Amino acid sequence: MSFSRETDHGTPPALATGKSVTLTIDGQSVTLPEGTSIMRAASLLGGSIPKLCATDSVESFGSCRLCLVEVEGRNGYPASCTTPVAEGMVVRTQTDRLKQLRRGVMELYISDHPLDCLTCGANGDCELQDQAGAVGLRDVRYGYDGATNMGQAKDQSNPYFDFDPSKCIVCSRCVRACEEVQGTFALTIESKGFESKVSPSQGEDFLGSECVSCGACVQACPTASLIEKKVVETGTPDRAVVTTCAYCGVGCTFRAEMRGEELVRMVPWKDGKANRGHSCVKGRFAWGYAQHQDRILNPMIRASVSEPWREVSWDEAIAHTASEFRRIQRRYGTRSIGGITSSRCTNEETFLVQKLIRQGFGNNNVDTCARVCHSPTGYGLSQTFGTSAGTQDFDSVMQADVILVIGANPTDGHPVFASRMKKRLRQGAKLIVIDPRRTDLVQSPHIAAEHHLPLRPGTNVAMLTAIAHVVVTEKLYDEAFIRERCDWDEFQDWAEFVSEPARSPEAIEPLTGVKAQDVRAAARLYATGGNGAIYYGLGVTEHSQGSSTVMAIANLAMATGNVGREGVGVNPLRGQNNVQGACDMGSFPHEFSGYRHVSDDVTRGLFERTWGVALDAEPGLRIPNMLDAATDGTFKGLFVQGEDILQSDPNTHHVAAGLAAMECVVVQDLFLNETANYAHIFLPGSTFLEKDGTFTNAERRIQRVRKVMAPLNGYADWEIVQLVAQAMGLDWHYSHPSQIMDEIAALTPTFAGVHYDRLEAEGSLQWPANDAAPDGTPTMHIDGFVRGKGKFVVTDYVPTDEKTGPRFPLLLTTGRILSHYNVGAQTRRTANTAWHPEDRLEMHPSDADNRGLKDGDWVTLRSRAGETTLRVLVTERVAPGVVYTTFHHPETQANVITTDYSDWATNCPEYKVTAVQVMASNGPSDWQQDYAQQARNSRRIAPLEAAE
Amino acid sequence: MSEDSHAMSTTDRLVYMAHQIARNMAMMGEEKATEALAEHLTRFWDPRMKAQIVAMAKEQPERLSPMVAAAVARMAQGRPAPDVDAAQFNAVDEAGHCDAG
Repeated sequence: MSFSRETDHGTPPALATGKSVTLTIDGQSVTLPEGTSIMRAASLLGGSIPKLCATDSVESFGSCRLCLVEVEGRNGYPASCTTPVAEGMVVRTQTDRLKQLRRGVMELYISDHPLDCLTCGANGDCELQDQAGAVGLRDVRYGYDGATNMGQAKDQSNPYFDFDPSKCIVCSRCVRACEEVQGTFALTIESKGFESKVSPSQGEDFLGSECVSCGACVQACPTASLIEKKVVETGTPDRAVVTTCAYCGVGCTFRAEMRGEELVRMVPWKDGKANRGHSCVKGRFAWGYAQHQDRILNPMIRASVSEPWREVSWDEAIAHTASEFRRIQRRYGTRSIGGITSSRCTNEETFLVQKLIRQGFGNNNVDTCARVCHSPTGYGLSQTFGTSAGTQDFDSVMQADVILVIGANPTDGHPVFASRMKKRLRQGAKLIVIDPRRTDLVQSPHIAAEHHLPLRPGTNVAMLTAIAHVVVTEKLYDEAFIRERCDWDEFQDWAEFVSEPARSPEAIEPLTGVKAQDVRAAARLYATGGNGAIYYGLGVTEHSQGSSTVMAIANLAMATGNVGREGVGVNPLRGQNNVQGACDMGSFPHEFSGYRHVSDDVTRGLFERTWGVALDAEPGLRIPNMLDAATDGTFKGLFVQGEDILQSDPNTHHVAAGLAAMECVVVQDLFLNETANYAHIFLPGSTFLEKDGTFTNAERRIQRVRKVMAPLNGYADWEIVQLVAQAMGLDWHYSHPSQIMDEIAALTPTFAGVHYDRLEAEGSLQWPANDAAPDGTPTMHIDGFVRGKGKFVVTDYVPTDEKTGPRFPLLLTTGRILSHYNVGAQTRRTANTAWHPEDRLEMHPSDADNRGLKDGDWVTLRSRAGETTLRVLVTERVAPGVVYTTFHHPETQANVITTDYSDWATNCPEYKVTAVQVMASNGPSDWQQDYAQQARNSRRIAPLEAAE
Repeated sequence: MSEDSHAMSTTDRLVYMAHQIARNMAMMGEEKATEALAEHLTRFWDPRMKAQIVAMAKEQPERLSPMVAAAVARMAQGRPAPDVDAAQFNAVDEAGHCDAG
C-alpha cells in the first residue's frame, strides 16, 4: 500500500432509520440515509468541502465556519457539518461568496498561527495547511503584530506525543475525541474568547492528568499542536500497511505507517471492525520493544543453565534442538517431551507448533497460555452452548440495554472495547458490575453503575446462583425461549435447584458480603431491562470454580432469553491478542483444531491421512501436569514459543522446580525472558511487524497480520518451527502462511471458508466461516445452539480450599493495568513504564492502618506458597480484607505468592484467591535476592570467539 | 495441606484433583456423577496421570472416596492407557524419521 490518508467524510454516518432522501449537490443527484450531513454527502460524492473542526470520528460541532454552503431557498450560509440532507434540497458547495467567506475565516486562523511550515513536524500532513490551500489563501490582511497565542511553552510530558498550544486552533476536536471516542473526558477548553486553550484536566500537564494516552486526540488534531514525538523526530511516513495489533484480545487494526523499513507511527484503521478507528496506549504507541536493545537476534545454546549462553548458527541451533528432543524420547519415551504454543503468535504459527508436537513428537503434550486464563470458558461454553467462543461481535454492545460486567476490568484490560461500552452507557444503557474491586467502570465521568456487587473473592458461583434464584422464583425467565431453544427438563432441574432457599440472596449474603436487596435489584434489572449482555474476564475463570461460573453465566443468559441476537449474549473478554486463535488451532492437549477431541476416530483419521502418520488418541499433559511430571522425572523436554511461564504461571517455586528438572528446555522468544533462565536452547523470535499471518480476536474475528519489515532475527516464527520440524524428519514445505491457513481450512470445519483471498476481500471473517456461513458469523446461536438444545447445568457452590486464617487473614487477587501487558516483556521495554514503573499492592485504608502502613511503604506479601516484597498503595478501590496486585514486573514476581489450586475442570489456576498476610518490610525477600542473582547469571552470553 | 505449607506431591495432587472434580459433580447424584467423573478423567487426563490414580486406587484405596474409586475403576476399564517408556517409541532414528505411531 502506498501512502495516502484515509478519507475523512467529516461527520459520522447517520443513525439507521431505514429512510433515505434524495438531493442535489453541485448538480449531482444523490440518495442517502436520512440524517446524513451535507458535508458527508458531498464527501461520499467524491467532493470535499473545506473544514477544520469536523472529522468523522466525532459528532459535528459547527465551530470553525469553514464548511459553509449555500442551500437553495434558505437564507444565509449554513455549516454543512451540522446541516442534515433533506428531500429535494439543492446545495452548492463552491460559489464566489463562499470562497470569500472561507478565505476570511482562514485569514483569522492563520493570523494567530506560526508560519513555520517548512520546519514543522506536520509539514505535508497538516489539515490547516491543506485547507489554507483549498480556500486559496494568499495573504493575511491583519499582519502578525497584534496579540497572539504563539510562543507558549510546549507540554512534552507525555512520552509519546507533544502538545504545542501555539499551534492549536481551538477546534475542540481533541476535546471531543477524548469525550466521544475514548470516554475519559480528560481534556477541556480552559478560559474563554481569545484566551481559550486546550487543557488536560485542571491545568495539569498531559502525563499528570487523567489522560490515558490513547492517542485519539493526536489523531483528531488537524495541526501539529498534538503530534507524535516519533513523527517530529523522523518525518512523515511514505507508505502504510494495514495490520493487527499484537496486544490484547480486542484485535485493533492499525495502519503501520512507514518510511522505508522504519515504523513511524501506528494509526488506528477506521475500517477496522473491531476497533472502529480507535486505539489504546499500548497498540498506538508501545511498539518500541520491537527494536529494543534487549532483543536477542542470534540463536544460543548451552549444556546447562549454570553456563553462559553461546551464540551459534541457525543450523547448529536447529539441529541441536531436534537432536536433543529425539535423544530424550529415545531414553524416556514418546510422551516425555511436549510444547507450549503462544497466544501472541499467529494462528498459522500456533497451528504449526501443535502440528509439530502431534505429528513430530508423536504425542498430544501441547498446551497454551489459555490454560491459565480462559480454559474454563472453553469447557463451560462447550458444555452449555456447544462451542468455545463468545456469542457476539463488539458492535453488539451498541444494542445492549443492560450490561453486566463480571470479573472484568475492560478499561484497563480491553480499553478500546471499554470505550465502545462506555459510549453505549452514556447513551442510557444500564450497568451492573460484579467485582471485588471498585473498578473505573463503577464510577467514572458520565458513567455510574446502577449496581456494584463487591463480592468476596471466590464466591462467584454463589452470587450467580442467587441472581438465578431471583429470576426463577420471581418468574422473570423467558419460558418461550427456553421451551424452544433449550432442554426443558434440564431447565426444570436447574430451576428447582436455584429456587431452594439456601440459594437465595439472603442466604448467601454472609458468603458474598453483598446485601441481598442489591442482588435482587440487579437480578431484576438484568432479567427485565431489555437486551441483557454479559461481559466477563479472568475474574470469572481464574478460580477453583471457573468452569462452574462460566456455566452459571450461560444458564442465566439462556434463562432470560439473552442469546442469539444482537445486543445480548455471553462475551468472554480474551486476554492475549490471539488466545482465541490459539485455542481454535488445537493448542489444548485433548483437542484438534476446531475443538474436536483426539479420541474421536473420524477426526483423528482426517488428520492422520493429511499428515501421513498415526496420531495419539490419548490426551496429553496440561501445563501444570507437565511441571508435575517433570518433577516426577517422566517429562524431560519442553518447547516454549512466546510464553513466559515462570513469570505468568502460579506458584513460581513449582514452575522453577519443573523447568529445572528437564534436560532440554527450548525457548523461542524476543527476549531472554524469565523462563529462559532455565532454558538450554534459545531461538530468537520475530515481532508481529516482521511476519505475515492472522490473529483471531475475542469476537472470533480472523484478521490479517502483515509483514512491514524484515525479521531482525532472520526468520519469521513459523519458519523457525518449520526448520525444527524438517530437522526432525517431517516433510514440511510451506513457503507462505497462506498455505498453512489453507491446511487449517481443509482440516477444520469452522474455518473451511477462511482463505487469505477472502480475508483480503472482506477485511476480516468471524468463524464459523464455511458453506453454511460464507460471510462468517457475527452473532452465534441465532437459530439454535451449536450443540442443539441449550443445556442448563446445575452449578453448586463449592468453596475454594484456599482459606484465610489467623496467619493469612487477607485475600489477594491479581490482575493487570492499562499501560502493561501480561508479563510486561513488551511494555516494560517501552515508555509505558512512565505510568506503572513497578507492581504495587492495593490495600484498603483500614487494613493499612491496622498494620501501621502508609502509602508507598515497602511490605512483605506472604502466602502459603511464598513471599515477595513490594510497595503498598492505600486505596478504597479494594474492600477491607482484600488486597490486589499486578504481575507485570519480574522483580516482584507476584506469582511467587499464588498457589497450585486451580479450576476443577481445566486446571486453570486460582489466581484470584490467595490467602495472604502483609507486614512492613525492610527490603527484598531472600527469594527475590536469590532470583535476581540467578537471573543475572543465567543471562550471561559468552563473547564470540575471534574468527581465525 | 498445613497452614504454612503448600507443597503437594503429584500423587497427592491427582487425588486432590479427582475429589475436587467429584465435589463439583456431586449435585448430579452418585450414579451420574460417577459416570461423569470417569468420562472426565478419560477425556482430560494423560495416560501417566491415569496410571498413577489407578495405581493409587490399588495401593492405597483408603485415600479415594467410594465414588472416586468407582469412577477410577470405570475409567480404567475403558481405553487402556499404554505404558510410557522408551520401548514404545520404536520408530525414530537419529536422522529424524518418525511415524509417530
